[in-house]
Amino acid sequence: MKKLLIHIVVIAGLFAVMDRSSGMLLKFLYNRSNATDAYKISYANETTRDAILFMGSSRCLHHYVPAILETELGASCFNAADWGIKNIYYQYGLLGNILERYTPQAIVLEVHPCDWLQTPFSGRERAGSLAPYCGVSEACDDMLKLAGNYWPCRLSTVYRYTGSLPDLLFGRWGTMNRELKGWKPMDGQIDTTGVKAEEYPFAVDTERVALLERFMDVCRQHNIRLILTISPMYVCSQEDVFLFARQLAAKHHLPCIDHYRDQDFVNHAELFYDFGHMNRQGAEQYSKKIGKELARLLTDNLNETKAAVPEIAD
Amino acid sequence: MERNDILARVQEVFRDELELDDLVLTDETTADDVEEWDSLSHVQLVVALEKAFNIKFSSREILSWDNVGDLIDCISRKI
Amino acid sequence: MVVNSLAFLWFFVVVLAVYYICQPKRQAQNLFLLACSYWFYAQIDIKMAGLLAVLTLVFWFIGRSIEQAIGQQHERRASRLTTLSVVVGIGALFYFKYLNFFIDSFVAAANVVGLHLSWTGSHIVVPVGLSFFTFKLMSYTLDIYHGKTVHERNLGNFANYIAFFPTILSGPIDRPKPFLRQIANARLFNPDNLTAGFRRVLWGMFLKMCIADRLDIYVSAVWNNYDHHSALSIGLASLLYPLQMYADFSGYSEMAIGVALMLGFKVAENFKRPFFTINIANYWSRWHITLTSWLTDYVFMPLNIKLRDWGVNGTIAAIMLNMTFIGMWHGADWTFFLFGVYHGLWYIPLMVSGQFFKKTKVKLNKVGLPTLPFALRMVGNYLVVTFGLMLFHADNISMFWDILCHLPEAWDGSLFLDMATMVNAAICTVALVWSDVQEEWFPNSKLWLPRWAERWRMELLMATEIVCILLFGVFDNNQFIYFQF
Repeated sequence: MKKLLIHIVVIAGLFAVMDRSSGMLLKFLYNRSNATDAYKISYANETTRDAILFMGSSRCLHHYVPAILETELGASCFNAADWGIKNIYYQYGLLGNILERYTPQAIVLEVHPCDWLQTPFSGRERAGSLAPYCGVSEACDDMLKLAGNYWPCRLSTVYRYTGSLPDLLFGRWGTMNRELKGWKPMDGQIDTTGVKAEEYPFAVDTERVALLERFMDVCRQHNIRLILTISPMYVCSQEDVFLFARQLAAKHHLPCIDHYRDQDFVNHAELFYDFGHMNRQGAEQYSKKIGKELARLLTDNLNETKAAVPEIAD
Repeated sequence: MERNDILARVQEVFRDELELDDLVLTDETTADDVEEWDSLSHVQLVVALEKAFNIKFSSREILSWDNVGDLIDCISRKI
Repeated sequence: MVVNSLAFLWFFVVVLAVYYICQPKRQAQNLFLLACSYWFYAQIDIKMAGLLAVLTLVFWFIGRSIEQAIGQQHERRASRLTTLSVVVGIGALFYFKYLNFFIDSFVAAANVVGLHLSWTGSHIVVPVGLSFFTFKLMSYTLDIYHGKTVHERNLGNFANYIAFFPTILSGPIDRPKPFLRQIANARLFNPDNLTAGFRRVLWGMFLKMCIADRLDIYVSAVWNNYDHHSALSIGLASLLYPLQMYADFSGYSEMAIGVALMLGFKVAENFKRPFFTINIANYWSRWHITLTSWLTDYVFMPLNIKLRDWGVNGTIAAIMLNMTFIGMWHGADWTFFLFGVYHGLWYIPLMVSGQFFKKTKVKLNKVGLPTLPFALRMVGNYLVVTFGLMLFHADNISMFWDILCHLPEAWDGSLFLDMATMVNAAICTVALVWSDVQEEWFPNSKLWLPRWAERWRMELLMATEIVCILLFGVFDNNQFIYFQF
């Protein structure tokens, strides 16, 4: 029995040492990687100190061009979005980590139905991407607990990087160009045969809605100007799928800029990479347009503390 | 036929079929002791033994042998 | 409750603690083990636990009756009772697993000839592990009949043999005698068994979570959307599938064997580096060993003996039937039937050339590895297995045929690769290949360690394995590859 206990203690000790040291090495590689996830998540959580942050799912990642937006808005911008259908669980935890370091002046949140509906393809597990930042902020830890990752991440630093060793080893040759300040352009054009609008026949998820509202409250408490946006899709649903978002924004006296059915973009195949993501050309065109609208909303108020009357553009 | 004679004859058949010229069998020898003796060669051995002694075994008898001794007992019962 | 889950971990820690507290009281320990096994099985389906109990009782009684009949020289009676037990076993298998399939096929065939029958298949749930424990039950009565074992008078011991939770779901399929011999004595607390068992569990987890589940991400992405993928991608996915199956199944077997060892039981091995074989007969003697040997002992051998006067043709017929059974054992569809037939056909050249009856030794070169001709034969064997597994993998014959037809159309497409998945899988596969090569051709060699670390070899290895499982394992079912099509 004693022999066995010694074995167990030695194994646990060796594991702790190997786990912590490997974890440190992995963190080092994580921060230097140019692979999409590693770069976007690490930079957004740890490094960015830009005045205006753009957060959201892959639609935000591909649609908002900081270079253009900085010109329109006269302030530093960073596209903090990531692909992989990131939803409010991720955004809320990310915000918590960012606020531990600094307070941005404004946040533009590109919303998607997975932020308030019970979408089976995008749920609590999305917060799992914040695993490397376990222990940084209470908000992030709460999200990790919901995702079921908190305790494994707490006990093992290696587990936080599970599955991402290749991305970390070959990170130098990753596809993200750091000079683009977080934007990932897509080159190519949509194949329009058989393309249908995405539908969302799901019930409202009260947990996600509560998180969205907490997100809004946190921004208000920190005097962060929050604007909700919806960028165009190639083909739109007959249902008013973003009604909920507009109503929620109005309830909280927040502006919501909805370009979902913007005829300048809808059905323009040359501007889209696939049904829900615009290509480089589309992103640049859209950024110019939304930049002007955001400027109208923000420039007066960047240094003010009270929220202006929201305008809902169409 | 004497038991030793049967053993000698069986040994000859085994040596022929398994191509092992210096194989020595005792009552206790089992398939585990002889590398070439497996479930496949077992059936070939049975066929050869049936020919050599001009007898016929039943399936149940064949499956019941645990070692060479059992085999020889079975043969001696039949001749 | 799968073995590599947190729920099982809690279950097993409690089981271990109480189990060894019971010692040296054999009866208490065995009773507790039986309760745990039934509780474990009931978690999956409580009705099926009832079925398990009923079948256990039935076969125990038949076993007793067979032994009595033999003792009283009533050969015919013993023979009939044995046949009865086989009918019950096969009957249970047939009813739960194959009835729908056979009726559907019969109806389809009748429709082809113009007879319109209507049949709405009833929803028959297959009890988990049915194929495994019915084989254990039948081997019990058959072994008694052939004098290979004696009837186990203690019903609890027999019930433990059938319901043993580490192996009930997916094997290995143990024979009655070795297990019953072990259950007859209390299993005393043995730290060596606990560490050796845990090592095997860790290795099994590595195989399953880091290799099998990782490869599955790619293989499923291609296979389930084959009409959008190029021939190259489908080819690669098909080539990786045998490796995935090996890691998955041998991983699960390792975990089962490891858990059993931690409980003090030695169960049969199930895999022995099957891809280092040079022909299909060799392959089956190293892949799912307990299934192959069960069918060899209870199907092939009796058939071969009955048909021994037909010479090679008799053996061929026996093999074809045997392999068809192996195929059908895996599932109720024509794909499994053809899978069995396909493998059976590959035995024919071996038997005709005489290679089947000789054990060809692999020639090694100066370094101690197989020479090129033998290495090539291993590769060729792997390709034979790959094609067979494409049949196995397809949902049905029409899907398999669809895929084959799709291949020439998609000949010039590009290869779809997800580098992250591939690199993860490759790193772990290298570890597996290294381990298998070492076990096969350099069994006495050890990984080099500095002198001061030698004392902690086992602990270092285990800590490294745990770190690797955490770093390379697939922990959620939400992995997807970003594929635009």
